[in-house]
Amino acid sequence: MKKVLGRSDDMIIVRGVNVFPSMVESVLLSIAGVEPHYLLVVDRVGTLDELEVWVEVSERFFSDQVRKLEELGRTIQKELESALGILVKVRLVEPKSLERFEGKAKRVLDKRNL
Amino acid sequence: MVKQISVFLENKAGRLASVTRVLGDAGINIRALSIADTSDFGVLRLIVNDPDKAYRILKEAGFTVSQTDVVAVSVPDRPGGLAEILEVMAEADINIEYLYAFIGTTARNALVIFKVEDVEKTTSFFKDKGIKFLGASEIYSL
Repeated sequence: MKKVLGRSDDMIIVRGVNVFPSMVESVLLSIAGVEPHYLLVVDRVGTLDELEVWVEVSERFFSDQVRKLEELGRTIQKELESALGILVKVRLVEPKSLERFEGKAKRVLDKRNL
Repeated sequence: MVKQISVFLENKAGRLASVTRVLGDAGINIRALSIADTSDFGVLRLIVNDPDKAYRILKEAGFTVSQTDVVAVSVPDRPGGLAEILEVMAEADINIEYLYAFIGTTARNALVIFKVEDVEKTTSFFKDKGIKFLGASEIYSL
């Protein structure tokens, strides 16, 4: 057997909680105005893990009103927090700015030195 | 109707520079601009000489762009000039989402770009009150 490269479901453990990218995906799919293109960024700040979710804003949703974009960010944050059970920071990024993948997508960027 | 170009800007070094470079290379002249910023992203709002072309070019360059109708009002360039107009608007219950101002090439008047909920209602109201607002061609050819 070759060396194990990683989990097929990319599960990560953040503050003792199992976080599955597939859960994030299903939350995003349920919210209008976002693309299901996302990246989970985990970092350790001090002694605690922090989870940031980068989400692409959809072209159609983009508005000249900051208020609407901020509302969208808050909605995503609330939905994710209730689905995952941990605090999440949401960052809206430009459409098509996250990497696209053929085959298995890379949805997690783990910056912790575990 | 005056059209404003809005561009989504991720909080990343050089984003604003590349927007303005794309516009500059296409020969588009910026008449006015403002940026709304949050900790994560910004929204750049522009009045340019050719909004349709600017929209197309930015889109082709991969930016997230939208076009919005705004009202451009000519405000007397003296103390209290803007206050008078805002008071009239407040009395008529016209909500302003945001505004930005610039001093026009004619020194006697400043220009204020208003984003309001109902552009039609606002312009007809301005007409009734005798408040001078500018049409698209006047703004684009400034």
